[in-house]
Formats: sequence, C-alpha cells, structure tokens
Amino acid sequence: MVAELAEVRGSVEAVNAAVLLKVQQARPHSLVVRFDERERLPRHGERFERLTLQCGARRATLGPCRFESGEATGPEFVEPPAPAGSDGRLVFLEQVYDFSQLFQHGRINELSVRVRQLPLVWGRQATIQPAFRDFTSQLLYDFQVYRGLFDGLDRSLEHEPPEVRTAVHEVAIGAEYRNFCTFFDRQLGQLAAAVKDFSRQDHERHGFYFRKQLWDLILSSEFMGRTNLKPRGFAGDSVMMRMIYEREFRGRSLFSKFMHRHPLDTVAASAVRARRKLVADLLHRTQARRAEAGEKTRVLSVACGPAAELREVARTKEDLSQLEVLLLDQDQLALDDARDTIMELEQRLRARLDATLVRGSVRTLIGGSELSRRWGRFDVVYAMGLFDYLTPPVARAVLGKLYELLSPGGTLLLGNFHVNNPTRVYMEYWMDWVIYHRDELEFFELASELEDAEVSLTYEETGSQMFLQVKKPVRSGAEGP
Amino acid sequence: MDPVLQLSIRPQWDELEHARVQAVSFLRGHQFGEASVNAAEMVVCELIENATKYGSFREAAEPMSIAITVQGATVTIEVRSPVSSADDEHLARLDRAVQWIRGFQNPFEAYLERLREVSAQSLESRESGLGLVRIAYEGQSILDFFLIDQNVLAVSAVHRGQA
Repeated sequence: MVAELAEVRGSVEAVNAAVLLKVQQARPHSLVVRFDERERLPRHGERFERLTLQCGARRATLGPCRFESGEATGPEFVEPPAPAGSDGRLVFLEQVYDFSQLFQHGRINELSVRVRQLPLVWGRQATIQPAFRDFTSQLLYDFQVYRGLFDGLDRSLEHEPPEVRTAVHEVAIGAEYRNFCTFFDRQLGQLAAAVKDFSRQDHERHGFYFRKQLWDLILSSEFMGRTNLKPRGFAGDSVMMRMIYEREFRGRSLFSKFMHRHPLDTVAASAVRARRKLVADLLHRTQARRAEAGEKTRVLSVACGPAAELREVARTKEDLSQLEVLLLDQDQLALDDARDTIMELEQRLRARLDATLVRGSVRTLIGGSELSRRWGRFDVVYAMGLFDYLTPPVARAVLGKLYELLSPGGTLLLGNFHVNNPTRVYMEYWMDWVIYHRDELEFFELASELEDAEVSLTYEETGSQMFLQVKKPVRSGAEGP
Repeated sequence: MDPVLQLSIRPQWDELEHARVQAVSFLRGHQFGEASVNAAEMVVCELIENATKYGSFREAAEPMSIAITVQGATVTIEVRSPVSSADDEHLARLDRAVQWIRGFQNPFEAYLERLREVSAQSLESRESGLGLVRIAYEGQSILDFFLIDQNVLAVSAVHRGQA
C-alpha cells in the first residue's frame, strides 16, 4: 500500500574524485551501499567530503562520511542482514542524520533541526496553570520516591541468582501490588479533580506538559510506552489489545512490572475484556437459531484486531464448524494475530473454521457500493473498538453501510465508551490515548436514519462502555434483492 | 436560524472566497465567539483547498459541496469532492495522516513533526500535509473522512465551539 521510492542513487565525493553508488538499505543512522565501479572500491575507513543522493530530479546533499566494509561487531549487537551485493555502510561524521523515512517518504531528518525546535517546546510551559505545575511536581516526587524504593530492592537482587530474583518479585507483587494500586488510584483521583473544569484546549496543553514531565515513568511501563509511542501509527493496535487480554506483570524491574500492570487493571481495560463475552453470547444465540435451520452463521467482525473473542465463541467443534467469519482490519499485523487465534482454535478443537481475512480500512472500504455482492450478507456484524475512533458524520455513514450488509433478521453490535468512562483522564493524560466518547443520545442518534431498524442499548457490567444493538427486521423495506 | 449552511462551489479560488465569507456570517449568526469563528473559518478554507488540490474534477464546472452544521455548541464542517479510483494512494495517505494526527492528545505534537518535515531535505516533492494538522491544532477540530460510493470523498472536521 505504501508507495516507496524505487531507487536512491548517489555519489560520494573526495577531493578529486566521485564514486557512484546505489543505496541498498537505509538503517536508522547509516546507509548500506553498493558502488558502481567494481574495480575501484573504496577502502575500509576511507573518508569522503560529502554524499549526494538523487531520486528522479531531486537531490539531497549530506556532509562528510566514512566508508566501512565488513560486519559490524559488538557484544550485544547482531547486524541485520544486508541485501546481497552490498559493499558496506556509510557513517556520517559531522551531522546526525535519521534515515528511517528515506525510502518510505524520501525524507532525511537531522538532529540539529530537532534541537532548533526546542525553544518552541520550552515555550509551552508558559501556558500551564501554576496550580497544575505544583500538582505535577508533587505527583512526580511521590512516584519517584516509590520507584526509588523498588529500584533499591532490584539493585540488591542483582547479587542473587535468577531463581531467587523471580521468587522475591513474586512475593513483592503479592505483598505490595495492591498498595501500589491504592497509591496510583489516589493520584489519578487527584489528577481528575485538578483537570475537571478544563476546556478541550486546556486538556491538550496540560496533558502534553504532564507527559513531558512523567516521560521516564511512562516509558518504564511497556504498555504505556507503547500507547504513547504508537509504533504502528495509532493507539489500540493488536499488541496493546493482547496486553489488555493477557494482563501480566511485564518488565525487568519490579517497578516496571507494576507500571505495566496498573493500566491493565482499570475499568476501561476490564470493559475491553468483558465485551468478548457479549459478542460470544450474541453469536451463540444466533448460532442456535441458524443451526435449527441447518445453516451456518455468517459473521463479520470490523476492525477485528486479534479476534480474541473467537476463543469464547467457539467452545466446541460444532461451534467452530457452524461459523463462517469474515475478519476485517486495516493492519496486516493484526490480521496475522487473528490468523494465530484461529489456528490455535482449530488445533485445539480439531475442526476447521471457515474464515476469510481482509485487509482494508473502514473509511475507504465502505464506499464500495458492491460490498454485499463481494462479501454476501451476514447474520451478525460487530465492531467493538471502532466507533470510539469515528466522529459522528463518519460513524453515521459506517453504521448505515454495515446495516446494509445484514441479512434480514440479522443483528449489528457496536461498542463505544461512555462519556463517564472513569479511565478517561488516565487514558488521555498518561497514555496519550484519546477516543471519541459518546453519551446514550449521541449513540442512538447515529442510527436515527436507518429504516425499520430495531435499536436498543445495553451496558457492559462496569457501565463504562455501551453497546448499540441494531436488528434488521425479517421483512424489511431496506432489504436487497 | 437555520442549523445547516449548504454550499456548492466550483474548485476556483474566487468561489472559495465566497464560501469563506458565507461561512463566517453563518457562524456569527449562531452567536459563536470570535475565536470559534476564526477557527472554523480556517478549517473551511483548509478543507476546500485540500479538496481543490486533490479532487478529481472532470471539468472546471464540477462542483464540490460544503455543509456546515450547528448542533448545540458543536460545528461540523464537511466538504465532499469527487475522487477517482486512481487516487487510492492519496486516500491511503489521508487515512494514515488522519489517524496519526488524532493519535496525539495534543495536535501540537503533530504540528512539531510536520514543521520538522518541512525543513528536512527530501527526495520527493510531496505535500507537507501541514493543512490537515492546522485543522486539528489551530482549528481545534477533530478530523475524519470516508468514501461515498467509490467516487465521492467526504472530509469533515468537528469543532466544539465557544460563545
């Protein structure tokens, strides 16, 4: 899907000679190259005054560099495989370049540009309310004291064998994790109180400041590090969903284990786990009805992620073989995870699941007028973690299209976090994870233009998440041919 | 006062100006404060400019449609313009950009990143995408989009206004 630069060529120049080359691979801060003239290869360690890169008519000029041939070595470094035929790499001597976007976006970033931006970021402090600054600094102090205590324990554990370290960690988790939660939850309560009258713009500014201050605490948590860094370009990727389902103590140090686990013990996280059951219940009811008629149940999961709910749906061999699922997600890696879920189920239950995995984005896919011709119609369509990301105009359009994909008598089930989600401030300030919360009226309103639909709303047990259930009548005016 | 302002304009700069003026007087009529009117005005212009740049208008007379809807304190601005299936790459890029911008609690972070990109050396003459970021950052609006029946692109911004 991503259009990449086909070829980046260039030349390195010394005082009186230029050597033509092709960039074969862009590493984060070095370039793997192959030289054109095979008889006159530069020596290992040879210095060049500049590198000129070229792609089509566009050029970029980079500063002094050195050629290094041969494998990189180091005690903990395994060199990623270089493409066949490469001669070695160019390392830059006066500027720190970042090539991670070279092939994908044609861009060469420089450290000095980031440094020049610092005053712009520093200037943000002026927009922070003094009371919030005090609050953040008190919170930071309390957390660092807590961390210092656990880090001290970890330091002394370095003199113990791994088995002892594991045993002590387990004991400390058993004895102290609850206390840590009480502490953390109290801090969250104070944060919520401190920002309760903020406007949207205030939230944005103060959240930014808050995360800058707490950055190393955030990164100590594998989960919160990921929600902040968003390696796949969006929050809520399939790895995060897996972490929510697995709910482990992950991390090297005791403190990082606590920091990883705490956000997974929130109301929102347990709502995510609980909704799997809701999907399973709906599918079981539908399956029972369809099986009576001797038919398979056709199911569409939109923004499926790792499709963990299938484990709850298919408890027996019969469950599995009576299903036909189409799983849709924008992220190939999420679909790979879903494929793993399916394979595990098939092995355990010794039956095949009729499953189709489709990669595509909801926003562009729903435009396809012939979707039902391509995919057929479904008895159940569900989207659990999708509507939290769609604004009303888009949510309304997506809902309409999904409704069209229902068979007569079919059911659509959509999840959306409620405006009163108690984890909201935690998500926004600590996790940098913003979703579109709705109230009952706003959620209902999305379905207001559907013809003949029977719409109802339920809550999952924590009340932080709503589910809109839309049923298509058996005989419907909107029914297709 | 009517809660919806519906406009149809051709992708030409003088018509953009006409739409801008109408949008501003419509929002003033709804008693929004200067800050909100200015923000929404910028958003209208950016969305129209984007549609003009990337739309697949078959002829200069083919219009795009603009809808500004006021519901309580919320202003929704939506611009619909023609696209062709040849624009798949543009749509995929728009999709990534919208999710990326909305991935930050504070769109200032996306703004910083785009500023960096503008000053970076580049081997591709690609648009900076700064306009979309401005909608989120300066326009204080939530961006979204969808494709209608393969050939119409609807890009929208939701702004929580202030009196």
